[in-house]
Amino acid sequence: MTERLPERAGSPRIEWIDICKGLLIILMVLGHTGTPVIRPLRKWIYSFHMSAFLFLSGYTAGRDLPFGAFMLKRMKRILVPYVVWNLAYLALYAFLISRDIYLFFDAAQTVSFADFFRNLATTDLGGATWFLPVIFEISLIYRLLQMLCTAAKRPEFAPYLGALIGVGGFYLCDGGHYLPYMLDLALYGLLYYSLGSFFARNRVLEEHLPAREMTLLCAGVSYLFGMLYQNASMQWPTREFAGILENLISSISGIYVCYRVSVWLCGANVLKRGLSFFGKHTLEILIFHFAAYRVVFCVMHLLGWLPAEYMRVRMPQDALSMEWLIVPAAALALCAAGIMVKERCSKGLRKLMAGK
Amino acid sequence: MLNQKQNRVLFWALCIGLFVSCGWMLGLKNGFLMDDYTTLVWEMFGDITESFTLLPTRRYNNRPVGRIFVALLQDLFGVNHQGYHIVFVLVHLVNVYLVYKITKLLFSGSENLDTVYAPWIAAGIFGIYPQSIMAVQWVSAVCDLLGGFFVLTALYAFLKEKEQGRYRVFYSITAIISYMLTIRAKEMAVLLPLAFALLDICYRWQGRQKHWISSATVISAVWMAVYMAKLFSFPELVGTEYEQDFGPVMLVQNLLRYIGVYFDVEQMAMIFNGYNLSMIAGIVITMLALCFSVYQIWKKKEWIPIAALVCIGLMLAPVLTMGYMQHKLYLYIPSVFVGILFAAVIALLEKNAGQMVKEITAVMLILALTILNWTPGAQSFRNWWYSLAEQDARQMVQLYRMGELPEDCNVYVRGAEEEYNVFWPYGPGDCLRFVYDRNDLECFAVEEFPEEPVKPCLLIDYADGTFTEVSRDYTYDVVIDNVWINPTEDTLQIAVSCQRIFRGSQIEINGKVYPTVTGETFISAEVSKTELNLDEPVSIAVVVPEFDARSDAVQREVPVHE
Repeated sequence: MTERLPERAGSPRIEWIDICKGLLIILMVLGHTGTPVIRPLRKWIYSFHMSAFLFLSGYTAGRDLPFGAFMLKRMKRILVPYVVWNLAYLALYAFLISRDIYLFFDAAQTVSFADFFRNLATTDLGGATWFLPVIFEISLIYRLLQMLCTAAKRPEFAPYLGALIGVGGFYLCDGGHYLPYMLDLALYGLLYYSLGSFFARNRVLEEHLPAREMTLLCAGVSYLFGMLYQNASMQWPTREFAGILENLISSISGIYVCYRVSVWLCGANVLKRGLSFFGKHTLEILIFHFAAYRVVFCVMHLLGWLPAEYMRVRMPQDALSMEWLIVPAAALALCAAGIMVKERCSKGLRKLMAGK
Repeated sequence: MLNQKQNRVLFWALCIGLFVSCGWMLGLKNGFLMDDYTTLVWEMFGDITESFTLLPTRRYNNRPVGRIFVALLQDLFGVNHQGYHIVFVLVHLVNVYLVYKITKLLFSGSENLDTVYAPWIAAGIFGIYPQSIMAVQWVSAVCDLLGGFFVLTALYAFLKEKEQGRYRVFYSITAIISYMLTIRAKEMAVLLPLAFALLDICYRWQGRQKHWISSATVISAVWMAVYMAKLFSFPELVGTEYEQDFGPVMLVQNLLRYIGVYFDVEQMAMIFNGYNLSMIAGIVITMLALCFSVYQIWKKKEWIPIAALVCIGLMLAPVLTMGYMQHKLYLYIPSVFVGILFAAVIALLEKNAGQMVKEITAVMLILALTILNWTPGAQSFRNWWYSLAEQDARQMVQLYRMGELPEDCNVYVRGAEEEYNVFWPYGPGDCLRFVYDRNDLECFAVEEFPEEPVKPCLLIDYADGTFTEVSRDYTYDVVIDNVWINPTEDTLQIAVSCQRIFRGSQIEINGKVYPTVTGETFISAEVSKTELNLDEPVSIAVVVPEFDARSDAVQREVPVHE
């Protein structure tokens, strides 16, 4: 999930992108709480956060690698961790079921290995990993589009084609015409990926949008869509979207607000380091945050703060005061600790765990 | 904006003027009145996300932007009218700022027009002159206020695009989107692309741009055509005060009336009531401004005054067609260009004057506009406004004190149609729906109470500005109007219409309740023929378990299936 810039010698990471990804992943973890306190914020988060990730992926997508090398890199970076960790979760569940231990999950919800390979079904621990095959498919399709347009001597057309296909993808999702392996979601996601690529190619954010006017406009629109429009939020796994216009407007507004905040935070040393850290490890947080929630619930149960049944719950349910903050913060801290441990592991194990 | 000393003086003069002209709107006495309750219940009971469409869905009053804005304010402020008015005044202040910026942009390319003092004059005329700011004080005028806001953002973006800077594409897109939003706020601004085209031509003529027509103008004009084609595809409003008359005599007559209303500093009435001295003076001033503008373009090649005049006409044109309605509310959007016109005229007249003269003129003009808010006419209008708001508030308390109303209650008010009151004509009864936050209340303004009012019901008398309860009956009357039986091969389909279809109504056939489907005007159920003795009449009743109510049973013969 952490995209690198085009493979040019000496090309640095773009600071604001890491900070932005850090912000977005924290918002995602917060958004995955079911507490009433977060609900208003959740509407706003869900109106743009996944499309923002897709946008940033497109923004940082490389163009210089040959197709074979590109495919291999994407598979190692995305598919390998996706498969490895979901298989690990499935194995854990299979073990727990064989021992009749249903404390940590709902007995009625079982996912087999066959389900995973057939339908990409995952356990609730890996619930957020749907994003990985989707972004893999998107980057593959877009790379093919780029090659096609380059062959036709019109490389600048790739984002437009991608956007057009993306609109078609929206109508597939909206019309209930689901494709295997979430390809319909990938086609719709291509819209935002192409938008990111277009913005990067033409330096739209940096050079073509007046900061003050755009910030005011996007903040206002974001507020409107986040607070008032009930239906503007996008539920990607269940394909619940508002109209394509509402989705685009809320996405662009949210993305721009995050961009401006990230640029501003580039000057804030302490926050910048923390957010950049999370921004560089979004893949790990994506894969492990639901598992981290379970660990936190377990600890809280052992401390006597939560009932045993809570360990079956996927997300915080407002059983405690400030739960909306404590649980996500603890989960992020756990993820951060795991990441730091991983950094110290062998290179081979690191590759297996995170594809890099 | 505030770098120079003269700007600071003018800024404070404008602030004082805005405080005097708009400050009273924030007070407790400026409550909800007239069709505010109807405006407020617009979107209370529906899904506002379904309201927004880019193209109109009917001929008149299809304004989703205003509805969504009101819904947002309701979310924030509920029944607190001050909150709404605070937001309205804030929007107006933003509009005033935009007028200032637009005037500065427009005048910047002219050697004859100063960009230091004139923009303040334009902002002052737009922001302070009392006859054109009614849209700010009234919740129901949200469409005019927002229409003005989007017209100004469209104009501002359009002019910024001409600066040829690196944000051209952004401003072009903003101008187009703002135009699309302005006509979804208020149809009055539909001819704005023609104003764009006029400005394009003038800029080209002056050598300020390379091309004759910009892309923003073309796209907006295409959208205007599509919008108007859709709008006029709906049937005309006949027999109402909004009926349109496109005859040239009517248009000229209405134009004169609007000029009269704008300059009516004597009475400051809400609508045109006839000509008076100040109106005639205003018409003379307008004629002089027209002659001056023609002279400027003919002899001096200075196009801004005539362009401003044309834009006033373009913004007023849609409402000139309404033969029975000349409302000062409709002056809000055109007054943008009135401000620009008079700022240009004054700037041209003072072209060779010194800075001191220009500054004094600007300050005196702003102060004069401020003082106009304290004329007897303005005070009288404000006092009348307060009295109406106070009356509505008092009557709302009387209605609210009648206590909790049962579900699906029918409220009959006798005598309400004799004069304006909070219950009628707006709804009728939208005030009740608003204050109780319920859409199930049926409200009727009657001359006499029906002999058998549909229950549950509350009967109220209105006389001398006061609502008094006459009686109430909160039992549920379920009365069958008609029964239809349609036999199929195996079943009987039974449909029943009632005087009132209550929520949860079910059809009872021969003493047994069947699953019932509720339609708009009837309910229906289906029963297998094997359950009935088809040789005997079927007994049909309607039950409402939630209210423990049941209709009288009716007997019907079963028709033969053919």
